[in-house]
Amino acid sequence: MSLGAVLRVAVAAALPLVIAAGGGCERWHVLGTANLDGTAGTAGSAVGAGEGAAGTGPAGTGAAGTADASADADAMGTGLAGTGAAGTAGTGAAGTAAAGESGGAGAGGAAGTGDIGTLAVGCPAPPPRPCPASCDLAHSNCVQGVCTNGARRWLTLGGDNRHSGWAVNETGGPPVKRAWRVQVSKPIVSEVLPVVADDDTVYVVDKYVRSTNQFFPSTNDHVWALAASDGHTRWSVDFGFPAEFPTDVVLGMPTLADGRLFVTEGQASLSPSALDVFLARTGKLLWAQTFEPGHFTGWAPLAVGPALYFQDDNGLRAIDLDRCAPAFYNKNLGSAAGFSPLALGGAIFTFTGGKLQRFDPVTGNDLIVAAIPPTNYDYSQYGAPVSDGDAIYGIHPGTLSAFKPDHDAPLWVMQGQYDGIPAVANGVLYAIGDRQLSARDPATGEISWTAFDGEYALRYPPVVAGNWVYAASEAHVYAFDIRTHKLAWTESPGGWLSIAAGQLLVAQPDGYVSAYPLSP
Amino acid sequence: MTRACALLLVSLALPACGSHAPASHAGDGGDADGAGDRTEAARDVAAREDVATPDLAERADTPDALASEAPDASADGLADAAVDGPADVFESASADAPTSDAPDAPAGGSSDAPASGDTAGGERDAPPAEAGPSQWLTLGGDQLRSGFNRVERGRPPLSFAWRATVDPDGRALWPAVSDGKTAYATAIMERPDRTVHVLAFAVSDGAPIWEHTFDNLPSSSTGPSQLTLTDDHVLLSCCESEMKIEALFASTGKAHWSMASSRPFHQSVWAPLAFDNDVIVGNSPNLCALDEHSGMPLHCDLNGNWTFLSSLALEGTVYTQFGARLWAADPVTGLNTRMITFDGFYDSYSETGVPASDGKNLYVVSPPKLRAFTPDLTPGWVAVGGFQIGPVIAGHVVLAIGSGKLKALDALTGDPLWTFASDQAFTYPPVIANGFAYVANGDAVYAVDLATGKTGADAWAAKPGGWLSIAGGRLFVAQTNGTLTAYSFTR
Repeated sequence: MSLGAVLRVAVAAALPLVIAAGGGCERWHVLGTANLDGTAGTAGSAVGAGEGAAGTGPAGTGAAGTADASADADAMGTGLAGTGAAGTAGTGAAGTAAAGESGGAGAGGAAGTGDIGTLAVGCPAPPPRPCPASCDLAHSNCVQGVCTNGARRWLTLGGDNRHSGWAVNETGGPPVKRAWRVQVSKPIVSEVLPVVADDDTVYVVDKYVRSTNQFFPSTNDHVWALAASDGHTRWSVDFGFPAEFPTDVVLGMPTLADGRLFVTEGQASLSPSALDVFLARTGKLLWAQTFEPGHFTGWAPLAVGPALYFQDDNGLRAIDLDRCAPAFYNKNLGSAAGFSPLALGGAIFTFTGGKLQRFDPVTGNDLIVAAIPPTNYDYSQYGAPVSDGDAIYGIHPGTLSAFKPDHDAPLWVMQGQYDGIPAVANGVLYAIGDRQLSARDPATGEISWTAFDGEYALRYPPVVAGNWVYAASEAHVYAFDIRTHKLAWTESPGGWLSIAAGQLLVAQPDGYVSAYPLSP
Repeated sequence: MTRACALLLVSLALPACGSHAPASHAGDGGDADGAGDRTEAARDVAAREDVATPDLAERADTPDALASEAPDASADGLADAAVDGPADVFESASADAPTSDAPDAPAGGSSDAPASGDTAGGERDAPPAEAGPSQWLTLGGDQLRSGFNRVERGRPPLSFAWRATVDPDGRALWPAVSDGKTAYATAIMERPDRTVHVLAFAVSDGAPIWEHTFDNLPSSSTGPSQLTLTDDHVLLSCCESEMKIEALFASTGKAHWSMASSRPFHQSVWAPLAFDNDVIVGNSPNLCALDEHSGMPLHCDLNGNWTFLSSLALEGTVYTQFGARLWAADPVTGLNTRMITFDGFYDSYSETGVPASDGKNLYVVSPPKLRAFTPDLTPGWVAVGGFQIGPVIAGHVVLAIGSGKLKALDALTGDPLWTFASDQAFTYPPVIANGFAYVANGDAVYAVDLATGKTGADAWAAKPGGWLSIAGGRLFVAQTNGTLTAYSFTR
């Protein structure tokens, strides 16, 4: 089933919003393989969607043995042929490996010294992974080994596709002590991006800047999978080079979905950029989608069913995850900004330059829903809009505003020194601004209560779990009791906050990730 | 009309079609035809005879004896073949037995690969040695740039055989090429100081055979490219401010033909591809083909790209990588048939990897990734790991340098197999023979079991390192100090 079909089915099944039929997927240039017309001069305009035919290993012959592509095997159907035939020169034909779901390619392994098999090609997908027996499938969905209902996950910036900042299944209170702390980057000039996590593993992207040249920084980036229980490294991927070969690779915020970890990869040079798709369980790079040179802003991608949406300097991109191919690229944002898009009501939303835009999830056709009045700020928003499922809230520098997804004017606009990303949880909107953490009525924007009048540098988006809201600066992280509006806990340093697996996770600016178990 | 004549009207400045007279180095005054060069060559021979001992050839023919005499070149430590500055013309095993300074061999085989649980590398058989001469004809050894000498049957530990000075000024060398009997080498020169040397040595004992000198070069000259060897010629780009392809007779070092460009092309440092009697070389912004035996240009197609890496030939198609693109071209017409673009970071001046093939598929480093493609450029697997140098391939195993470490991956799936690291980052493409990989940085060269990634019982390492090549029972290390060192395999 195509991306469009799947999305339309999903929309039709779950939502009253009617998505207009689009004109098909937009074709991209400089992607994938393409036949040329034989003249070198036209090479640059080659077109193609980069589709690979689903690969199939040739049928096993002779002593090839049985390729093992069990449910727990890697996505490409890593099949090693039986060893019994090893050493039989010339007879080692490839086994047949079962393809993964959604067109995943199977490749046979080799036996003996003959044919080593067939290169796996196509669009790999994570192989099905069963949930543990403890998962009550009668009351829970199993997604890539995770019982989704009640799962304490933090899948993307703000935790979910609405970037709400609300860990809805967490009920614990402020931590008592730190459980573990892991250094993932060197504390010279470094940055740890906001982490994502499931019940089992915390996924971290670090960016270690090795050069202090602000114009030509040399970076060394990693993707880490740390055990949620004790922080030990399950796997890591090193994008960097040794000192002899400095690199300009810059990674973006991760997003976790369906057993895959999505990370955008930019290049400071004019080389092409990429979306990298990892198998979350092993760190295997399933595939990478190449894009023409551009500047990825590094904000978290949005995974919605079989599609992935993310932004670069020029527009909103969509990727068909079933085909491992671009779906659309809408450059009609009208404002350069860095943001993560939002999924609500079967549509994709962006909020840049004070404008809320709605995009057809299949065609990418856009409609400006509403815009705030002009402000004195000529720079745009960096962050993400958030939603409680009813309205969309966004910060444009100097304003905090709310929109109904189908209204052509803002619901309300509040002036103030707002910055960053708000959070919305359990009927309360939280925002950082005017050196305060404010709690507001989402319907009117009126302040319900404020807290924390101390630290000017409060900057990271608040997160909410149970009866507590957490906010952080680079130096500290704080917990406030929503019921009493009082400071309940503090720790240092601060950083990007996430809540998953019963823990408050802090991606610190000093290159560490710390985990604080929530108290019962 | 010959194909060369038919395609005469291309961009290169040509000698008369049909003339077999080689383009001379008019004004160079320094090729092997000159009396001065013959005299120089005679002096080289004399010098060799002064140093060589009668039992050298015998030792070369009895590598077991060498091995037994060189216990230092084993797991005990690194065989120290380093010299401080250029040595004499050459040194032999009898004149300079290796000494051990016993630095620790690296803790090989440590894996920092993702925990996929795949340790299949140790369960796999290395491809068996094939029959034929043990040759290393170009960068990567063959037309596939595989980095794999399929014929060599030797294994570690290796013993010092000989070393020779290629560049008296101590500049780093390009990788040696060899037909198994003669080894050829030249130095890396960004500005050749008006003189460039290409030298030939006997594989058996390092005895000088010939030296070709390009001299009286203009000050704007670029240095020589990596060498490519055919049955008849040593091929290289050399020594002009614009494209110029040189063909020397492999047997004598005398110039056969020299083909200059009429356009101000920028010379490539990468090895030409000798394929089906053609010479294919990337000279920005063109990818050009010439007839190997006449130097006649066949086609020279403007691709408009700045950086070309060495092309490879697979199933009658020529593949060339430049930047983040891989092209497939018809070698007869020069027309590009397919192209693929991928992401990657490129620094054309530090790039030390070129695409490689195992004869079935293509493997390409696009930093920080390593990718596999089918011959029709359908993408296969992609792996990430700070990949910058390589790849090379033998059987099921693809090797590349990632984040300064030697990393082995499954050729079909890209799954990590093992990682081998030393104290210093590896900076040269690995080479493979008879189940062992050899990998180097400027400091040392190491032997690693291809199946396990361990140094194991046959651990061997030597100092210093450099560009590696394998031919005629020798591992050649083209060092950064202008010295070419040859080690003998254990049989």
